[in-house]
Formats: sequence, structure tokens, C-alpha cells
Amino acid sequence: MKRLVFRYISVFLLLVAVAGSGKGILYAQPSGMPAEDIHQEESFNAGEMILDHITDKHSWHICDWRGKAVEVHLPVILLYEGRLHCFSSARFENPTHTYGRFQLRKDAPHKGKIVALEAGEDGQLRMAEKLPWDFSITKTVAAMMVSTLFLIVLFVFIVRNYKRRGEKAPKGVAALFEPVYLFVRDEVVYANLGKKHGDKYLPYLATLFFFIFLGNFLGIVPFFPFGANITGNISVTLVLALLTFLITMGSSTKAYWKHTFNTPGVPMWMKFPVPLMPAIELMEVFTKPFVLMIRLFANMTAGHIIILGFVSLVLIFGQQSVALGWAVSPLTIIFGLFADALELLVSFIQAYIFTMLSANYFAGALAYEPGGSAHGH
Amino acid sequence: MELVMPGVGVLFWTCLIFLILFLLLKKWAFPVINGMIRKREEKISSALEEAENTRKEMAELQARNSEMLAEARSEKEKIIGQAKEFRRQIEDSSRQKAKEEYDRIMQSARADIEREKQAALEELRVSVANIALDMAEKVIDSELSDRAKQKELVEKGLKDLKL
Repeated sequence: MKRLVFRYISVFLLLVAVAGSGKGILYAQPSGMPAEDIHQEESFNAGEMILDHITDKHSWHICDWRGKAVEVHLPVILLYEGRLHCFSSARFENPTHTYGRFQLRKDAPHKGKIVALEAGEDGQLRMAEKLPWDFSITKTVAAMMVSTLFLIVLFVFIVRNYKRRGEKAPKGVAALFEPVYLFVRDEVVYANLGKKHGDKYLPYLATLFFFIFLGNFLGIVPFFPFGANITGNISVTLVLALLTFLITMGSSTKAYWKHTFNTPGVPMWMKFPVPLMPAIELMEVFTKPFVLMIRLFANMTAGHIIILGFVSLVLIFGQQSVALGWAVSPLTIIFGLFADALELLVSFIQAYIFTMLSANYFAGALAYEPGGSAHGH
Repeated sequence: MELVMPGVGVLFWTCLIFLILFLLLKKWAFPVINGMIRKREEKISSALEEAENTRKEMAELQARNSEMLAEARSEKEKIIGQAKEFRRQIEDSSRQKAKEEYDRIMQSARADIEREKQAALEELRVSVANIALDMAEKVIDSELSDRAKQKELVEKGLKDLKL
């Protein structure tokens, strides 16, 4: 094994040296294509490719087949000047990416967004100042629907299993589900909120956990209809963080606000005449959900970037020479596998952290302390 | 920059999808799952409690059993002792009775013998008298001729017949 690895590394280094100096000895050309064309068409930009993969789009690219992209054209729903416009994103499949009065921007500004066009003074169509409200079923939304549907089907099976087996130990999907559910219930919800409050918040927190977990998890599955960067979309995490924030505010008690504006155990000069501490505490009320939003988004996006980065290695080296690309591929596979395994862990951990912190914020709002009922320092 | 700009469409759809999922799960899934899990937990804890109770009962029963066994043993000892005593009493009393009976029988036998003896003596006396008379008759018959001799004979006879 050791010798094999050593031999592999030496061959790899040799290839790098050859490719670096000669750049052409091992260069294989696909037959029937001039060299310049290859350079123009296959000039690969890893950054662009990665960003293209993790940002939201109006079509869902599945694969390339014989030089043509195989993709699902998702519906576009626009609200513009008080009117609803619904059409398939396939309508943008023309040289100017224009359909009616709308254009799918391929360049800055508003790259990837749909803009409205209006006739300028010189009679030419130009971009309108006002952007249409875009309620399209984008790739993220479609993937979220798939993931949610998946979750609902899963729960249908689980509930059916529970109903059929009664008080007996669960089997099948339910047996897989129950330990996770009990973990969320006992270690996340009851541990933070106690049993009495916990039962009230359990449905939201459990839904949150499974929604995030499956969103993260299916985001790593690299084929259609999965693999979209659901929880790495800032809008999605914003909604989830906002819900947690609203529930926190909804369940806030007098003790919570007292603790916020008149923190016990802090010297008086920090509160009066300059309300330094209250200001900080008030800011914290908002930074908590904000950080919740950023953390999930950043973690999941970073994970996707890492995996795609490793995949890009093959293409980058492959551009140098095909043989080099082949040589790098085992490394890519190993690193990619490692990143995937890491992401599996991260997808669970992030769902856990989001739920855990939500439960913690609710407990803070209720001024509930596990172990003791009164809040104080 | 586009990466960190929230889009109204995704916001809207995420809200909608998440709320639908939440309501569905809250209404249909979690009550069933929670109910079943709680029921099972209760069943397990009650089964454990029952097992503990049974164990206690068993221990109690065993204690009572051994107690009863000891009691039974002492009872047995007592009964056997009583029986032995009873037997001894019966033996004693029967021996006593037998002796009494024996004495009674002996006494009555002795009385009988005495009576029989008296009767026999009476009979003997009668028969001796008769024999004497017979002999006297005979002597009288043979000695009638000689008066002196007769007298002498009777006297002699009477002399011999001393009762």
C-alpha cells in the first residue's frame, strides 16, 4: 500500500513537471476539433462554475449531453405593475434572453435576475428602473419543495408505522427516525425548555430540525432532483431565523425585558445616564437571530464551495493536460469523499445548532432556566 | 454580492412551504408519534414498576413461606410430642386397666373357687354322711345279733369320723 502511494505521488510529480515544462507532449486533442476552439470553449473558470452552482437560478441544470445542457425549465412568476405574469423560463432560451417585456440578465448589473424592459427615448428597449417582483419557482424553491415532499412522504410512512405497531418498538423508517426525534426532544427541547414549556415548542423545533437537516442533507446528494443549495440560500435561512425571532418575541415575558433593559448584576453607571448595557442587550436581541441566519447560510455554502472546489481540481488540471487530469482525479475523489463525509456531519450539526439555539432563545424569552425556575445571576 | 441578497420570491416560498410543513406535521404527525412514544414510555415504566413489585412480593412470599415452614416444623414437633405423650398415657392407662381387670378376675375366680370348695365340702359331707349311713346300715345288718358289738362299732365309727 505504502509503495503504491509512493509510486503514485512520484508519477504525479513527474506529470506536473512534464506538463509545466513541455505543455504539449501529453496533450491529447479530441479528434476533429481545432486546438483554438478547445481553448475558447473549454476555458474553465472554477470560481464562476462554483458560484453558478450555489446561486439561485430559474432553470435546473441536470447534466450536459452531447454538448447540450439537459435542464428543467422552472416556471417564472412575476408581479409587475400590478399584474401577474407566469411563463416557463424556457422562453428566455433565445440570443437576447428576452421574453415579452422581461429579460433574464446574463451580465451585471442584476446578473441572473429578471428585469423589465421599457422603450427609451430613442425607441430602443432598455432596462427599466423598477424591478419586477420575482415570485418564480427557482431552483432553490423547487429543491425545497422536493425536500419537503420527501419529508412529508417519510412522515406518512413513519406515522403509519407507529399506528400499525402501536406500543411495540418501531420498525423500518420509524426505527431510524425515532432516535433522532428523541435526541431532538430530550437533548435539545427538554434540556433547554423543560418538559412543560418543551411540549409547547416541540412541534416547531422538531419541524425546524428535520427541515434544515433534510435540506442540508439532500443538498449534498449530487444528482437531480437533489443537490441544490437550499439551506445555503440566505433567503431560506432568513425566514427560519425570522420565525425563531418572532416566536422568541411572542413568548417573551416581563422578566426577559427586565433582564434586557435592567440587567441584574451590572453596575449602575453602565445603565445610567448612558444606557450602555441596555443598548448592548437590545442589540443582542437582534444579533442572535441574525447570527443564526448567517451561520447556517455560511456553513452550507462553504461546504458546497469546498466540494465543488475539489471537483474543479480535475477540470483545472485536465485543462493543462488530459493525463494530468486523470492523475489528479484520485486525489480529487479522496478529498471530495472527505469533504462529503464532513458535510454529512455538518448537515446534522448545523441543524442541531440552529434548533438548539432556537430552543435556548425561547428559554431566555420565557426566563426559564433548566434546573431552576427563576432567572437570575 | 448576489449570494447574500435575500430574494422576495424565495422568502415567500420558504415561508409558505415551511408553514405548510409545520402545520401538517403539527396536526397529523407529531400527536401520533408523541402519543405512541409516551404510551410506550409509560408502558415500560409501569412494566418496570410491576416487575419491581413482583420481585418484592416474591421476596415477601418467600419470607412468609420459610416462616410458615418453620412454624409447620415446630407444629410437627409439638404434635409428635403430644402423640408420644398420648401413647404413653394410653399405654399406662391400658396397663392399669388390664391390671385392674386381672385383679378383678382373679378375685372373682378366687371367690368362685372358694364357693365351689364350700359346695364341694358340703357335698362331701353329705356323701360321707350317706356313706357312713350306708356303712352303718351294713354294719347294723351284719352286727344286729350282737348288741354289744353294735354299740362298740357305732362308737368307733363316730370316733373316726371327725370333721
